Amino acid sequence: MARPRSGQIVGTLREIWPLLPAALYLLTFLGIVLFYLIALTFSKVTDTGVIFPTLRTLGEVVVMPQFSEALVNTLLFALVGTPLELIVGLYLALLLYKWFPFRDTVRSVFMIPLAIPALVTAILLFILFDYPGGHVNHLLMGKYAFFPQVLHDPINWRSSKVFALGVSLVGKVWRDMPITMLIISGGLLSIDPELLDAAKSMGAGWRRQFQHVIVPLILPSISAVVLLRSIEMWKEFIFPFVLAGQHELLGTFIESLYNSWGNAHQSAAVALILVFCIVATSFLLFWLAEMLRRLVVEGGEHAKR
Amino acid sequence: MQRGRSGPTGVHYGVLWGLGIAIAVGLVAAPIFLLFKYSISDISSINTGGAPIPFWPYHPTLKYFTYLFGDRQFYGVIVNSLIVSVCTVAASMVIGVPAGYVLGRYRVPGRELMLVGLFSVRLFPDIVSVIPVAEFFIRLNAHNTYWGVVLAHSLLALPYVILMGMSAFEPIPRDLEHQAMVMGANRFQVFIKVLLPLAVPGLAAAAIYTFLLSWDEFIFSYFLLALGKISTLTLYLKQKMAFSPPQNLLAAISTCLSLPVIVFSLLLQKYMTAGITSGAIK
Amino acid sequence: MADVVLKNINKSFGAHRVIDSLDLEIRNGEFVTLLGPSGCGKSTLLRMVAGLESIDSGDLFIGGKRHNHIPPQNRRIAMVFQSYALFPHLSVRSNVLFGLKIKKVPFKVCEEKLSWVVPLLGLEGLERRLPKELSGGQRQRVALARALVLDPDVLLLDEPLSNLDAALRETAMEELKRVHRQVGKTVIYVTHNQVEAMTMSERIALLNDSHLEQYDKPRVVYDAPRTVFASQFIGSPAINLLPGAIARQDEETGVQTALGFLMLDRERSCKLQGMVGRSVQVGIRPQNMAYVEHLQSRRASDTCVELTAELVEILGDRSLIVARGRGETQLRFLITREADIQQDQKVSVLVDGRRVLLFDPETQVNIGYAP
Repeated sequence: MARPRSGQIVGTLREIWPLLPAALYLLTFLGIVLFYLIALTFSKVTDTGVIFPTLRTLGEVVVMPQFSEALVNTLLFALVGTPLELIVGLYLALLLYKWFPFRDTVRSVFMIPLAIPALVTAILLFILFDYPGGHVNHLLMGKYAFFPQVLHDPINWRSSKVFALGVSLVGKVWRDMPITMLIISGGLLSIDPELLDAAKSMGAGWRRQFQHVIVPLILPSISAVVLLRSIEMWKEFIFPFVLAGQHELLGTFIESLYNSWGNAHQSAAVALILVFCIVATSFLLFWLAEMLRRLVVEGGEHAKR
Repeated sequence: MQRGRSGPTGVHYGVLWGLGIAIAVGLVAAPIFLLFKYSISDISSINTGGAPIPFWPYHPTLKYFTYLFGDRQFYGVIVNSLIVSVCTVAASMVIGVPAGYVLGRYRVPGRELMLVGLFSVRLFPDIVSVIPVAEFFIRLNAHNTYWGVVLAHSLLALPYVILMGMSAFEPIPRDLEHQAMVMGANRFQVFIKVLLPLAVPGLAAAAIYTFLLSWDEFIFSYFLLALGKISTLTLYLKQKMAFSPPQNLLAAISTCLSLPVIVFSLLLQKYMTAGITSGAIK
Repeated sequence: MADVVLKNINKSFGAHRVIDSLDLEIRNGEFVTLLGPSGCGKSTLLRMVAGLESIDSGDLFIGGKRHNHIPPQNRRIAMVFQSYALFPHLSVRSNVLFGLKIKKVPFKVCEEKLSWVVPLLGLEGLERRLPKELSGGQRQRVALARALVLDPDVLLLDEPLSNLDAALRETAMEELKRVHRQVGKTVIYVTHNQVEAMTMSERIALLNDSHLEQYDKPRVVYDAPRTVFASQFIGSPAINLLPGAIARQDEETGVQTALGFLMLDRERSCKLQGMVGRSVQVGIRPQNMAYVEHLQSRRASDTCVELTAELVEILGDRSLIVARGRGETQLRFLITREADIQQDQKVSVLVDGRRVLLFDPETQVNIGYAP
């Protein structure tokens, strides 16, 4: 490609100048974010002033017990939450697959969780999972006629790590149901119905159709869901912030370091680590998806038997 | 000829599927209903002292709503939220729509790269990007100000406005532009008179999406405004939580927070779906 | 192998009646085509036999057993779809063996079936390819192989050749006929292309607007169409139609038309004596009109008609002449390449009275039709 002459550059600029404010704005902030993240992480406040660059802040953060705790918590959160979201999304998408009257209305209803602000959902769960009263506790203790008694004493949902993070997970999955459903629905709709007819005509019942036709063909959608949702799990802040105050994920740990401890540097360090985790997870999942795809789709001319 | 997609046939499957739908609808609708129920509950319906909490309050009351709307602080907070949201919409649209216009209709050199760059801001978790932004704003004394929050919210909204703007401007046939130019219009006139009116549906969706994003936004508001005098509705809600208020009050506030959102969403279902799927894939 | 019997079948989609009180019987091992224009219900009928569409009322028997409520996977049928419906993520081999794998047929049997069907349809060397790496003709053969390998009682084909170009279609038609001869299954074939129907079928079921127009051997449907529609749909170029009335001239009974008095064959002449005055719709196939220059001899039942040529369409070894006769009646007829007719040329044409078709103008039914 020939090197653009100055006339060409001016010409292009004249065409695309409306784009520039937005581009500048976003790129500036991108720069600011990156700059401060790195600057804060690799510097440290000491009695003699601020030193840069240094790995000491990172070092401090990594050995903190709360850090490893938060890291493990977030990892578990993602490992449990992503399959859960996938299953729920699949469940809703399959329910909507077959045509029925009022299908569009029901689909609109399924979209509601997305419309509610996350904070509201979190507070709602806060109310529902109250201790010692609260709908959920009363439900589990059999105080309503239609539900059997499962517990004798109410559970303090904020007390232990499992419960607190569990409730946060419930909120997150509930909130994200529509997105997962939409992605999988998109995949389902792209399947040519004649393929299912063909499978039926060859003796495949509903289960076989699902296993041999539907699942292989929606694998791209499933991969997309797993990738996107697990990234979201790493980023989660609002639900654990409201519902699991003392049991921290990386997101809330960043906040507490900044606000409660007043240490912006350590906060930035954890933030940088979080970004790194996200990128690493993305690569890992991409690779996994590719392996899975090769397993299911036969490779054509070059496939090994 | 209409051929519905067929699923499993047979009575058993029909019953199972019906049950599935009922459960799903219940799962989605029940929390909303409960939120509403709590917002109109009287005290005795909440502090039942061991008796099962009723699914409908003993004495439904609008007391908490009237209390809220009588509270000057509450009004102030709503006004703040409105100001911030409207300004965010204005700022994002003013900056973002032209960008969407250019990206949607012109061959920009390095277009792909530019798009990646523009959206990479959203790759960072909110909680990660808020720290640098907060630090930066503190240097500028922009924290605890309206325009600081507006700037931050615009940052969040811009990628979506640009994306939706692109898909709003792109499908407009070039012949219309050429026709207008042949008739003597310059580029700006073409934009105002031809392209903008046709892109209005998509842009309206972008505006609404931005409004809702700003209205619901918590993280940036929290970091940038927490210690100051300005408070948005989300912040107000969170602050109230710290003092163990009665749950019905919380619910009432939450309902107020949610109402515009639900109304808009149900009315404009189609646009939201399109925007989210393309956004999700990005 | 089984016979298929449809009794008084009705089917509607909403308010739109697609199949109306239809009876059809297909014999064991027979190749029957459901022929008709778009929207006549033929694909719906096929899908009902497959079990992919429900039957509103009436009975479907396959092999003597009532199949109305048996789901498609439990019917001993196999189907080839218009789009072939090959699974895009599976190789040719896996596609073909799909049905067998579901029935958990042992590996050895699968291999045997493959080694039979692959050479039968010329699929050697393609086993490992994915559908997207195949040509249209190859995909069609894979779809067919997939169906044959299941050893169904009834083979259902839904316009399988409509996505192929003309040359491929001819080869495919011959191949299908050959396969049917070798395999001998009951075949129900759906198409809107009358050439396919005429070439391959043992019997043609002509469908028009939700009902059965005629059901007979191809030769009969061509020579003795039951209705005006049948005469128009089958046969190319399209039949000439004109109004007329039974009349008498010079002691002979024939048909009076705007072109003049047309003679009929002796047998019909006698039969129709009593119907003089009755109005009819007259059908003359272009093939049954002969350019006088070609003929050495002339039959008693031939009528000479004077026409002026308007258009000459060259079809290759023959040409189609569109001409006008008396009373502004437009007629089409064919000439061989030896003859040469110019525009506006006056020509004489012999109408073969034995082949003239007479239809009742109200019922549209062939007067001489004896089912």
